[in-house]
Amino acid sequence: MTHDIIQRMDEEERFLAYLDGEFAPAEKKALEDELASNPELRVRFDQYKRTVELLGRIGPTKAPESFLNDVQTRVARRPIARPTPQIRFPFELVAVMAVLLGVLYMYFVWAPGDPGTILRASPPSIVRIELNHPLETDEIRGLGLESYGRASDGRRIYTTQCTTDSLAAWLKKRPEALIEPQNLLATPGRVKVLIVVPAKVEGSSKQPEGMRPQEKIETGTGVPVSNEPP
Amino acid sequence: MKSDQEKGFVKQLKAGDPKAFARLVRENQDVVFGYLYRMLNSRHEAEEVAQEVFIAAFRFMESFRGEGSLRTWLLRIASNMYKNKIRYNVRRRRAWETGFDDLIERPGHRPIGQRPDSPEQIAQRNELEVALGKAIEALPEEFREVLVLRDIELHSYADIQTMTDLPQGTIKSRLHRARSHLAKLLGDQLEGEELKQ
Repeated sequence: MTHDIIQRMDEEERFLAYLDGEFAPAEKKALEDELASNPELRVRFDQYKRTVELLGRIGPTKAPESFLNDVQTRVARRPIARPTPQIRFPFELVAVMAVLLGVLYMYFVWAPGDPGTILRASPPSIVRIELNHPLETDEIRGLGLESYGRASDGRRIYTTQCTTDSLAAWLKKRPEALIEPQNLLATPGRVKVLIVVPAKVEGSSKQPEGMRPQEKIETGTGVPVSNEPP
Repeated sequence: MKSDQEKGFVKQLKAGDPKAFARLVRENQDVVFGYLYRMLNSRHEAEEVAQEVFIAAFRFMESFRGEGSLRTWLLRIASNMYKNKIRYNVRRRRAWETGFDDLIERPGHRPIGQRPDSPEQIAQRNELEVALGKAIEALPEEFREVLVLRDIELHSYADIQTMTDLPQGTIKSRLHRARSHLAKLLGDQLEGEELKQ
């Protein structure tokens, strides 16, 4: 059985090599000698060789004369969906962007301290501050205050938005200020500030910062006279 | 390594140049059609599938990577389309007489300068080809493919390897078995051929 397989493999390789012209002269002669002395092998080889010759004589087949025209007609009939140039999706870029966004999110929303606290405190809480003296220009400018109008008792109201840190620093110079609620200043973040000050200011001629254009200045005071209803 | 001329031709094809496409068809239509004709044993089916091969080549030219020749690429498409056709279509068993009619209308393969065959020679050859066609059709598909590519279409082993993705050892083994099987099937005709020679 094994011998037959080896013999068949041997025959296969030798027949193929002989007809493919891959044999060295010595190998070719060896096979021819064996064929001469082995009639059974000779019959198999002759049939094999004639089959190959016969197949070779069939030769290539010609396509019909109208083949090119037929193909061109069919190509023209079908809409040509030429593949669009493939745009490679930039996964690396998307991954980097995602990581960056994650870091920014963590930084601004979850990480302690500025500027994350700014976002965390949004919308800002309101801190109400009462002072027993009117504000000077540099005080108004220092906190970026704007005139908000008058309270029902005639006192002026200024407003701004700032961080609790900058407000605390501003208030250090004004220990008399009444702050409500006080605990807001202990929490880092952004707050809306309402500062109520007495209406009449003596001896100041400068126009305060943040005043609205339509506001008039009280003569000799520098304090805007509100045109808003009290 | 491909020549600049061939690279330029491929570039024209990829750009959808109709003249380049016409040249591609002209230069390869016989090879593609011949292969399919031997595999399907029907001129009509071979023509239909061969047209599909070139249409597919035109539409998907971008996917040609230039690793082999255009001809090898086209034959690979042809081989796949043939397998699809066999796999998905119930193949009609045709009367062999149809094949005989096909052979009579076939333009032939007479080399340039050779005298035209006599009616007797044509008849003898047709008879032989009919017998060969029958025998080839009776071969298992995997044997038939390598036999057609090597012994009829005369491709190199390297090209057949590219077209079929088979190792060269497998190609040779299948070829040998196909030839041996065919030799047995054609026993009588081969004896007749021997007498003629």
